[in-house]
Amino acid sequence: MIRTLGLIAMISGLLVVMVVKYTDPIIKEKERLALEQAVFQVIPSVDAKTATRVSFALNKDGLKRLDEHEGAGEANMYAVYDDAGKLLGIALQAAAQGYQDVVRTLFGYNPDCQCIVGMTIMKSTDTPGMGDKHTLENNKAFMANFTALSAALATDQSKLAHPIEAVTHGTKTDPWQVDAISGATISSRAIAKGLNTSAQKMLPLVTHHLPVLLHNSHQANER
Amino acid sequence: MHPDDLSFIFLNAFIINNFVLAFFLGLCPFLGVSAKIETAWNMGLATMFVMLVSSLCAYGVNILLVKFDLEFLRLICYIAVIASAVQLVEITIKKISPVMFRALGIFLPLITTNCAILGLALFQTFKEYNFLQCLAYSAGAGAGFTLALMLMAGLRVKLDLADVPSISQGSAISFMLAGMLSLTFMGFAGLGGH
Amino acid sequence: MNESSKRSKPITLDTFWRGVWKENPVFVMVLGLCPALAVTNTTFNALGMGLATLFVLVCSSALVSLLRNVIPKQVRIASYIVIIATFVTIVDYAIHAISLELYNALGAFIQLIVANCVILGRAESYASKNRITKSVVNAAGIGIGFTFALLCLGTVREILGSGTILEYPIFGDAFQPWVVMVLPPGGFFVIGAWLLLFSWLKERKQRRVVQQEEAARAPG
Repeated sequence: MIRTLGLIAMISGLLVVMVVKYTDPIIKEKERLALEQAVFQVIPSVDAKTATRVSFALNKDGLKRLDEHEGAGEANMYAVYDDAGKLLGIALQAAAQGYQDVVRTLFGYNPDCQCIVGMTIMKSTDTPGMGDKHTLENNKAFMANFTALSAALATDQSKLAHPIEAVTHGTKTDPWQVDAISGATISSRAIAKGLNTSAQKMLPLVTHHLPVLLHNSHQANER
Repeated sequence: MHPDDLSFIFLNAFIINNFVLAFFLGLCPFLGVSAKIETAWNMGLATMFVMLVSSLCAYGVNILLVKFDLEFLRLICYIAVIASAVQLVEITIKKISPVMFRALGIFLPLITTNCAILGLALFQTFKEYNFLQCLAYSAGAGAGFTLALMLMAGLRVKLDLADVPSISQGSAISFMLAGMLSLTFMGFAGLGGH
Repeated sequence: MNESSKRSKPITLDTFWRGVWKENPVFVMVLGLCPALAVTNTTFNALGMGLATLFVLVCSSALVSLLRNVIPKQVRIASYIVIIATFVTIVDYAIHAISLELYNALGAFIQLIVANCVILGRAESYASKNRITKSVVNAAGIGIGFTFALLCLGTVREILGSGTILEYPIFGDAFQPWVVMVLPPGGFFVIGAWLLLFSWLKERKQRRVVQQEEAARAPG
């Protein structure tokens, strides 16, 4: 009995390992391309052919440049450089509870204007036709919120000067406000809330490490 | 509420994204064991108990798998762990409380093939919950399963007295009822969006 | 139909066809819905899920049938589950490598194929008792029947819920989609409607048979 079970376990182990070994590089490459596409999408003025993306792990302990193949899992920040090694922008992840489940987004931050310059939805299971990825991203007026959304830091550089917030449709007055879609207020609010949480936590760190990030561009160029 | 709060995770699995009515998990017992309210209650309790145990086991197994870089064996391990957890629960209940065993015993083998249990283990891994969050998630999922089962049983008891066309007797009318229940539960969506 | 004329042979068309129609796992036996209903909100997802299940069903039936004389009775269920889980893992990785879009849409539900009672049912009641060719033919029939059923669900839900087939719009701009159809309640309603249709057809057929018998009896 034990021998039979061992045989079955061996057969199944062999099959699984073979398939995993074969598909793993393909999967990694596809994931990498999908991520790269999303990152380039949120940073305008990027030329996808010449730009370089570098992954970083950024937290309170410091900034760590990650190898493209080994540390892809722990990356939480992506910097994009053009072919001359100039920093074009930084892409960060955000998440907040939406209508049905968590809405995950990726947004682009430009340190020159201290603002959010692009946003794309990675995952949303909110009501199709109202709060899903397709509908939200095709709403030009809503997406226009994220072309120059102010994310300037307060003077002590520990938090945002003004928290990013969603306001009722048609009442946007300040550059740090998001004009919500009427009928998908909760989804809009979730996106704004996710951006705010992530920006409050990450942007002070990004600003702190900005000289290094600019410096890294030379390495990116040399490669 | 923040999506990582324990109370929110519980509420999310309990009513907002109910396992049966939003994810269609555990439909076989949902349709099979919901003829009487009392059996539905016992089945719900047994499932909730197994969910708690297997969720914690799966959490431990996943830590080991990640540590040794063996994530591709996750599914096979989870299935094995759940099957053994159900056996273990069965033996334990039999030893500790024969009364409870008489009430729950016949449902335990059924639970082994309940996709809600495996679904719970997989979802908590996908969502990268920590130990306490797993606990809240499995408690919510179990309570949600029990709630859906009880509501369905209540509806079906009433249905026995109703005069429905002969072609809709059996599973067709049960699915329609489940659809209406699911529609009702959609009203809970948006609870955590503020 | 040649299914009755060939019944004497070990493998008949009936071995295959039975699973597609007469014993359709979803519409007749009402099995294996758990991991399937959730992802039938578009035709494409339904097709992906159906084919994945078909692959697991055929492969696991083949292996179970090959090993049927080796596996001890006491641990047969455990062995079947391990075999099924193996092929599901393979399918999971294969879909991930073939289409990231499909993988993200199906999510954890690919892995939940393991808990599909149709597959374990086939292994236990058919593959463990029959030769490999016969088991594979039978499993293919059941798998195709399953895929067909999922397509029935997926197409109806996509047409009503988004107004498209395979993302190609079929109604004009004036069409207001029934969003509820691509949401969970729609899944329950559509399967309920299909079951109603099938039991209506069955009842009509029975009524015809009764009428014919009466008509045949009347003159005599």
